[in-house]
Amino acid sequence: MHDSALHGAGLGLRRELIPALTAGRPEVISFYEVAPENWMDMGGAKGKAFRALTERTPLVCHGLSLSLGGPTPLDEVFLRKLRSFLEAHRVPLYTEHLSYCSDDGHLYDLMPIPFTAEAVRYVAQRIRQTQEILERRIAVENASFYTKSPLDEMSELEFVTAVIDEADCWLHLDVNNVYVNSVNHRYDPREFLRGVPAERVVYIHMAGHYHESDDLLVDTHGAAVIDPVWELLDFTYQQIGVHPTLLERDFNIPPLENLVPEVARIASLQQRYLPDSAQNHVSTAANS
Amino acid sequence: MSAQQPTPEFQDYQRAFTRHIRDPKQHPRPAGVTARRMKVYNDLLFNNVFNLISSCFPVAHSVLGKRKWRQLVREFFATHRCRSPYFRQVPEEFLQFMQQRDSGGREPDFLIYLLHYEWVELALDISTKEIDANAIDPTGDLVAGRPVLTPSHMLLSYPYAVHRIGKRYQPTPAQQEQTYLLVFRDREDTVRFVVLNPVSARLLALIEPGTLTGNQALAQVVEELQHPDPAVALAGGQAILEDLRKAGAFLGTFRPDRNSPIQPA
Repeated sequence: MHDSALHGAGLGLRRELIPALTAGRPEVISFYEVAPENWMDMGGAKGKAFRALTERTPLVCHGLSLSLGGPTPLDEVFLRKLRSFLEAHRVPLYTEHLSYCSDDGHLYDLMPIPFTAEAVRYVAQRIRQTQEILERRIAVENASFYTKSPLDEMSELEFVTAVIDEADCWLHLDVNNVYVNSVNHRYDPREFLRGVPAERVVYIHMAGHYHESDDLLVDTHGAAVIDPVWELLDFTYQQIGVHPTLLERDFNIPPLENLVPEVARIASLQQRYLPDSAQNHVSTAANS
Repeated sequence: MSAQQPTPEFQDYQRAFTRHIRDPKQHPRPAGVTARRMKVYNDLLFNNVFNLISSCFPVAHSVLGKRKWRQLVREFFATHRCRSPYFRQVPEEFLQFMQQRDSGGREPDFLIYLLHYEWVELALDISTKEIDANAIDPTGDLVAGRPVLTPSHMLLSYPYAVHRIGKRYQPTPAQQEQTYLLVFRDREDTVRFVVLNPVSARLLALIEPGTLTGNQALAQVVEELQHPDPAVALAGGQAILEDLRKAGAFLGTFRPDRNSPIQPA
């Protein structure tokens, strides 16, 4: 049994890391995160190793396939299976991307929703439907994006804020995405962070990205976190407060010992901004 | 949205966006989107699906060659609509697409069998079929009792020797060889392939449902074969069963008065 309250610094659980983590979890890693789609209905050696790890360590689920902004109805069969999975692994927090990944079929990657009032109403309604089926509040993540739609009626920040407000859900703040988008779409990331509805933030992501050119960064999660993004995390903790924060690494996955210093750096930044030495506990909807 | 209402404008844009990503040659990118930024999505989405599929089918990939393989995945990406939310099931979606597609002789006749054979390893690797261990006697007599195959297994037959296909062996329809395979996940969760002769394949097919004892299945095979020396045939069959137990394909025998212990997880 483990405490369902989530705190501290976490690491994205990738298959490549399982042998090392099974041998021993470094103390600085307080929780793991997975895409539930990668582990639902998983048997065999992989399924067994996964269950052994999550029995001892809290697990956040960060979805990939729900397609909150997609044009076809939400997959309710999938959502009901997801609810069982979240319950079986006592998952304290489920988050999804504020984007879409399907048309009439799955496309397995994230695309941007145009920032229009009509889209706000549409997506907020789907988040509410998701929350009803899962019987819990969810968090949505500010997604990275590369193209601006000519239909946009508002800024990215206005869109994110309006959706969260209308859906009455939480914000999963991806600091690397704020940085990537600020470069790709030429805005001031600190101004963005100052405008984020701080009271809605429950969870933070950190990651590396691919530098294609000075005006185009691609959110690959395939490299170490760069200094400007570390500075933004520092700024985020100052402005918004300390929240459970995860290091994502999905490609070019190095040995565990090379990722642990990045997780430790998150944890030490958290310590700096905590009012006292007590760990910051965020009690979420695990048992609601 | 009710059927009478027009599609919201933002969804028209989303549809144009994905149409272009799926098939950039047929569908222009949405108006107002720059080419360089659009290309980020074209590359990210296609490459992701290409890699998910290619990693499951290394032999088919190498047999067809890079160009032809890429064309096939392109055709899949443009025309197929994946139903599964699970990334690991994209290879299965590709397999279904290939099985339903009229190849018109553009690819080797053996290709769909080879694709199936390569997909089986992935499917069994992550199969969730479980078995009630209490229903099984691991030391049970495989002849007197009803033998139990490990739940994550497939008994397969192909018109080609799919396990030998590679760059150097690419059989034509004239070189078909009916091939029987038992593929199973053993106790250490490793997926193993055993090539069967037609008699062993028939024997396992009779045993698979779990209703016959080893002896009953063997007797039926001997009768079907009209074997001149039933005693020799029975001894041979018994040896096959024991070999497969050693390899991990049989878990043992059903304990008496237990039926159908295989349950989906």
